[in-house]
Amino acid sequence: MTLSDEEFGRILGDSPVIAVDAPAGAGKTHLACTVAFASVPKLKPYQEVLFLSHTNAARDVFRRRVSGEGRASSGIALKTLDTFCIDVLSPYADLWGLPTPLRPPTPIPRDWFLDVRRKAATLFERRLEIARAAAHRYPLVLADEHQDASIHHNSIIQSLARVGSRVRMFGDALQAILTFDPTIPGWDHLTEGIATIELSGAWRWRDAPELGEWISAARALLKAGVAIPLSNAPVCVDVMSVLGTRQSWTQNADVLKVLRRLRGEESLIVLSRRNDEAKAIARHPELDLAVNEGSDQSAVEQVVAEVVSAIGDHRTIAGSLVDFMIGCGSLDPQSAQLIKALDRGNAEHGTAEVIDILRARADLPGLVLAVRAARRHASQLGWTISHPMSLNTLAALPLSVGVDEVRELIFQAQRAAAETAVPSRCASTIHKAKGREFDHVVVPWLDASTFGPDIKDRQLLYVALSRARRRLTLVVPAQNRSPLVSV
Amino acid sequence: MQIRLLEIENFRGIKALTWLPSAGINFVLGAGDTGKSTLLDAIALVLSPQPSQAALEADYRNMDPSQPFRVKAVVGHLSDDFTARVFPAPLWGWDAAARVLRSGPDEQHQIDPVAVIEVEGTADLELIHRILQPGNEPRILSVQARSAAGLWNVNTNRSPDTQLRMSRGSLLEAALGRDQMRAPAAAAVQGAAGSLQVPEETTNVLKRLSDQMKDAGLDIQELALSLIPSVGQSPVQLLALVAKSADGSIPLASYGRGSRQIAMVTLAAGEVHEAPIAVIDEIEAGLEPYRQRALVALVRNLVRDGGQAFMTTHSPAVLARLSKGEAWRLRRQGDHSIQPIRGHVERLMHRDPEALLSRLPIVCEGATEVGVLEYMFQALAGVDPATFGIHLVDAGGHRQALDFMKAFAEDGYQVGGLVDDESFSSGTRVAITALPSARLFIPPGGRCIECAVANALPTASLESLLEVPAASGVKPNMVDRLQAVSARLGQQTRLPIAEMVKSYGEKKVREAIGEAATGSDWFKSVEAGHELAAFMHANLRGDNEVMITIQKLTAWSLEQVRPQHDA
Repeated sequence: MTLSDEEFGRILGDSPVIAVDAPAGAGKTHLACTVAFASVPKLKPYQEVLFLSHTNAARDVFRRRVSGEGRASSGIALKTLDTFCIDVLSPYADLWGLPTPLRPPTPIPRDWFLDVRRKAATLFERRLEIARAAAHRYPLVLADEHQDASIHHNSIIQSLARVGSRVRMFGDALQAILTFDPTIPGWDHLTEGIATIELSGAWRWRDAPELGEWISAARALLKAGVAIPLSNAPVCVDVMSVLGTRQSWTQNADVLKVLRRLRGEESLIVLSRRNDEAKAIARHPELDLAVNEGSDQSAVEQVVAEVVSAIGDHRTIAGSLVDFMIGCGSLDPQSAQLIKALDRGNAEHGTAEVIDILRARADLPGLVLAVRAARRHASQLGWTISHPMSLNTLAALPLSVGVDEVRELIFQAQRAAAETAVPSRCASTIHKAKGREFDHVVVPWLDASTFGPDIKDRQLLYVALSRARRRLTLVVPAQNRSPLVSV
Repeated sequence: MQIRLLEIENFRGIKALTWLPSAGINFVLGAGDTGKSTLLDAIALVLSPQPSQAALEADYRNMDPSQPFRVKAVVGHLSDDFTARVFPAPLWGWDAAARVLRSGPDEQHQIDPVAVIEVEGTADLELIHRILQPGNEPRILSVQARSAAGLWNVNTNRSPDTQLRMSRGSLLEAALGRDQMRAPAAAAVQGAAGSLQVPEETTNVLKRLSDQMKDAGLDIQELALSLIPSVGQSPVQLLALVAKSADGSIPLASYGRGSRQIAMVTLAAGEVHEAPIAVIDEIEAGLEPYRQRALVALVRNLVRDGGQAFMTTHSPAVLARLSKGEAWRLRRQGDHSIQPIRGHVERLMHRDPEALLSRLPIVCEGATEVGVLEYMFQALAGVDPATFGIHLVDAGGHRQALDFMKAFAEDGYQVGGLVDDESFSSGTRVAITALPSARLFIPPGGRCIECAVANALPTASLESLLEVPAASGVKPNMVDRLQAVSARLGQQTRLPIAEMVKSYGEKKVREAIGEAATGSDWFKSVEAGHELAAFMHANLRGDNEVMITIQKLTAWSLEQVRPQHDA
């Protein structure tokens, strides 16, 4: 955490709102803890520091960190933003046309959370005394991952700041979730006109400052859309140029040679974009890599995001479904091809029902129905499901929910999933590695189809790079090199 | 904070009562045993900063816990401390005009934000404090939240020792804070225990007991005596306020009542709470009128910024200085009701506050009638009306007397009146006759009491009426009086009464004497009224109509107060 005394003083000070622009590894959680602990002794007995996260997982990370420092968490209230909305609105539910007691129903109706957020925000805007009561209870509010906040969440936090809370928003534009929600405006928009303190990234790299500086510089370039020059990378960043194509990179002799050399590393992760690639790498027994199955539901998030942005586009949705199915295990190439082509093929073949559904409706319920049909016909399709967690979540989505609720359902599924320990040497998708860190990170195929110029791809590469604590190994194909790097 | 609406149900003697008190000062008046203290206790209970204890059977109506009691308060002008502690319990919008709570999505923040709290005494003798969330299950209202409500309960009747000691929720605790005194108190007790000198005799007994206990199998080494607060008590509760002097220390709790009252109110006032709710029973207790006024002024000053005070008093000195909306009358006629003291009753409260503290006000047209009645109660019934709760009011005029009577009777007071037989019959007079709780007495035989007396006297006694003094032991100026009577007859030079009778006839002279007496203010004071009454008693026959009217008045008055008095 690199922060001048002056900046730290400002964060602890009286300014109503401060945004902390915190890149990965910059010690955001550490800073939030430090600020919380410094503030608790100044509170009145009934006051609390309010830590607001988007997911239960993030809340739990903060809780573990608090208790990990051997400090009592009394005086610190940890809530997800949606829980806070429910808390605030609950006493007024009756009058605001909401059920009493106010709990998310099952299945969650379309726009349920959106409605609750909007009403909670309106309550705070219209009834200042209620916001004031909350502000007096929570004189300090720490908003985590605020880049993912919806306009309603943000409105609640700003209302608190207006009536006396000191609000500290932590966020990073480059770590935004896949935004398919129009009510999530993004970090740059949310911090417009707000005093911002840049947390430069050094906390994770306190033992390898050179790497930290390089990742920090890479972040700035990715943000600006400028290619990262690899020629003058420091010693801790290995850059290998190899020949070969994307289709076969998991069998590429040069890549395997690099990975074999790293057999001695105790903490190593090989990051690919797709799950099948991670599994293919892990299938080489001599590399001694396990598959990180993760407990996250980003595969579901991803397929939902893709479908939502492609409603009406049957072919794209079929492609997304195939990617998802492959991610859950392995799929017979012929079935994959048939589904992608929306070809019913032989009526006896299991694809027929899946294709009928996909042809009939190109939307989220269509996807859910199709994946349920595919699961029924798994054996005919040659679909081996080795990781059923994401599949179960997707297949369990109610057909009537809105996009906004899907996110909440995914959060809940994530919470329900047992926390799996990440193997210390593993192959993983970048999504599943989010929030983790390893001594050594390998990005084994930096090509243009994996890391294009799109902002989402830039965010993905940043997440990949910033997982490394000490060393980075980047494998860059000679042909079709990613435009995000230059050699 | 301020109570906007109070609802009491089945609490002690009160079956049901709804009250919308004033924002600042509230004095509750009412006859004895109407439930004034119960009302104050209800307020103190719902806001009590003490941990809930078991309810007492005596707190239930008819001592019957199967009928749970409830005290509900809509509380506004909420302190930040309170709202923060109860968050996210609801803050409603209070519409005083409609007496309803609002909080729908259409309500704007200009509305008066309130919380709705209640205490219930359950059928199981449990005392439960809650904050209500209409349409939702109520939440428990914590001790911490209640202590943020800023209640000061100054009640000299109930345990001044508790209030002037570091007990839970006491005024002393609120003023000094408990936590920082915990360790020093514990240390002091330990130190004192160490310096305990046990007489040899007692040590021997302890040794013997020690051996016996060991023999009985008790696992001890040695018995000793030490200073230990009783079970459930903390050493900090041994701390009490004392007055230190060269002669030693005297606990403030053992001071006189007035001094304790001042100590407690000052202690409460010293507290930093911005907008307290003060509950003070009998604020005048043990204080001279000037100190009573000073104390009320102190309370008034402390609640002026959003606070509220609920007090009772039996002090005319306090009542005479209350402003509009500050005095209330609690009534119990079957059910309880409470209403503001206003209009003519309020005017009389300023003019003659004792009228509101009496059992039966008798509104008299003037000082003469007050004096006459004072004398007559003694002469005819052998009683001092003042000791029976009969208060004679000098209304200062005919119209005002009728206005006061009507206002009193309309507000449900039992009231009597003694006024002149004015020739006109006003609407007010007619209205009073229709009110069951009012009784108007009008001496017949003249348009004023002096006239009636002059008309009723035997001829031989006429002159002696002029000799009745206006104050005891002071001879009246007969020249002036005769002159005044003569002038009424249009006579330039004064004549003896007998001469006047000869010239103008008896009827005219009687009229002239009556007119002169009232017009020249011969008897316009209470003392003169005594003299006039003594004269009437000596000179008028018992079957005289004026005497009969007065006789009826005294008999009726005593009948009104006697049944209760005897009980």
